Amino acid sequence: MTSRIGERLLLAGLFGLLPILFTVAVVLPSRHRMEARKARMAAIAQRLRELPVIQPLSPRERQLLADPQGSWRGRIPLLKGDAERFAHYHRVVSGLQGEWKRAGVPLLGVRSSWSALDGSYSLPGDLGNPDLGLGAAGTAAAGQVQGWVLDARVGGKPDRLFLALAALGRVEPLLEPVGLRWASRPEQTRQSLLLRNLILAP
Amino acid sequence: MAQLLGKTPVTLLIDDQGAGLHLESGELLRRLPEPGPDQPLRALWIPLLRELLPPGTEVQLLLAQPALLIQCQEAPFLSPREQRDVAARVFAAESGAGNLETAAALDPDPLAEGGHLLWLAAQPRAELAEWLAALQGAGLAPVLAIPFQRALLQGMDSLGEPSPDRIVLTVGPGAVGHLCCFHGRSLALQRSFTFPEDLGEAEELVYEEVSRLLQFIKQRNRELAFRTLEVLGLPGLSPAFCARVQGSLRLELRFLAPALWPVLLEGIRRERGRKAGLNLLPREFQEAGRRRAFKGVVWLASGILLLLFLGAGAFLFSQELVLQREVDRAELLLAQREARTAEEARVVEARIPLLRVRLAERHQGQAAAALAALGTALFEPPPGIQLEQVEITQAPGEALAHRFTVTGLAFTERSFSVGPLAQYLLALGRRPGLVLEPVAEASISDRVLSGHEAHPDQLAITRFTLKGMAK
Repeated sequence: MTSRIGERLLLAGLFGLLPILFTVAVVLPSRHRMEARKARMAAIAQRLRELPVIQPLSPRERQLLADPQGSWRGRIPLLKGDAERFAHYHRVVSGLQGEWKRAGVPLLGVRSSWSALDGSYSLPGDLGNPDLGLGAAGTAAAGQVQGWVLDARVGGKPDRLFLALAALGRVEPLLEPVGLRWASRPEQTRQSLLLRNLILAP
Repeated sequence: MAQLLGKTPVTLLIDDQGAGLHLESGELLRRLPEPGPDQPLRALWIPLLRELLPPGTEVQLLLAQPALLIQCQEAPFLSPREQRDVAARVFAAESGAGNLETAAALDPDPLAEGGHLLWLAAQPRAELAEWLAALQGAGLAPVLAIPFQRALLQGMDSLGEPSPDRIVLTVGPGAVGHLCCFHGRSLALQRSFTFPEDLGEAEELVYEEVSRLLQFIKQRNRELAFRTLEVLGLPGLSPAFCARVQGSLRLELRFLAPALWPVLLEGIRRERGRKAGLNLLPREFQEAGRRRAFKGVVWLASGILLLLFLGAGAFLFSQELVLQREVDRAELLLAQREARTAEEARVVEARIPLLRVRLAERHQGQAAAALAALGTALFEPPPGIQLEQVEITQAPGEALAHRFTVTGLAFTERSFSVGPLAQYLLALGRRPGLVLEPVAEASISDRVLSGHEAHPDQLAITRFTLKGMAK
């Protein structure tokens, strides 16, 4: 009788407890680990989807970025102080007159108000451009983009206005035309372009 | 030899001549000695059996000794338990309870009343116990104890369709002859005798035995009529004997098989394969066998179960490994993508000033083109219009747009002054993207404009101010 009970216990152990033990000790932990790994896979896939797709640099861009003296660096310069600001103002006015002169457009005068630099003045026919040792302005990724506007008075007939517009792209400091004024009075005709210059403030 | 023996059962044939161990092939392995009057059988057999057979060897007892009792009865269907009860009662009535080990087996038999024939067998318990004790003492496993006649009947089933009533002559190991009369599945009578070596003497003895047997049967049961003498274990008999038997005894001779042993082994195999075969082993031996078989099945099932678990575990483990490799690959890919993205972010940061300049240049170009287009349109009034003031300013907002204000005069020359103004408005209105506001100021008057004294007769001058937006 005892041996039969023992046999039954053995049978119960073999065919009842063993599968339960296998399930508890092997299947469930394995399932738990696999679910954790699947969750990790899903998280990785989600993270991969979230990563931004960035267009790589073109060869032309690499070339421009690699050139520390590239002319584009002076188009929207980073101005750290009054000296740089004044030098930049100098470059804007000188550059504008030089470029317009080459295009046959006379720059008669300028009106502007930029921080402490208030101006309303006439210009000679040729400013000249002696090297004052002011150095070239640099640029940076950081900095706050700001703009100031100058009213550049143009001589000649209205067609000079359009020549002046066409020549703007060649001026190193970037000047965006934001307006045009033309008035014909019996005593004189006055025409000017409103130009916005962009700079970076630290 | 011992290992070979351990894999196949051996047969212990016990007959008039004593006990002999036979291999599967029928070869006599060893004849076991008979004990003396005061000598226990097991003391003689155990050392011998240990020497001959490895422990655990299965032993089948084939009983053909005179003490064995066999009866056949027609019966209805009986359960194995009922069959055992019948056997115990029948032999208890004959020889006293408790002295015999009994067994029974039920065969379907269409000739029998009730449709079944019950084989009953009994063996003196003390004798059987002594044999089994010897076998057990040698570490052997008795699995079956079957009467010779039962094994013969079962084995003959494998030789084809038997005659319903027949006398079977067999000559087995030890030159013991048996004459068995079968009526259907029932053993009607049987006789054993020593088979002489000389064929002539043997034929004479067989003739006498058969003749006596037939006379005895005729006296006891006139309904039985035997027409066939079937011979097993003899390659042949003399033609004179055959003619004599056929002529005098009116029996047809049929030689079933030249060797008896394979037929007996087949009969033993068939009986062992039956669920409730005739087995004179005590119940505890049979139970032990069944339990051994059950344990074997259980262990086999356990092994299969363990193998399945191992397989399932290995499968799960391999799946985990595969998934882990995928996770590792994905993490590596993610790390590479993050590193590349960080690198690209640094590149983009370096690209910002250039992008800013390019954007501003593009904006500059668009603004210059838009301003030039608008200026061209405004500075091309039709004849009769004189512009006084043109002012264009960029409208605030993301989209590029310009507000403009035009002030001028329209003169009456070849046509009324409002006409040229209307032409001017129409021309401006046709420009794509140019939207004129409703004219708020247009006055027509007669006056001489200052500075135009050369035309004092200038009349009907229209002074106008136009406003609008160009996108």
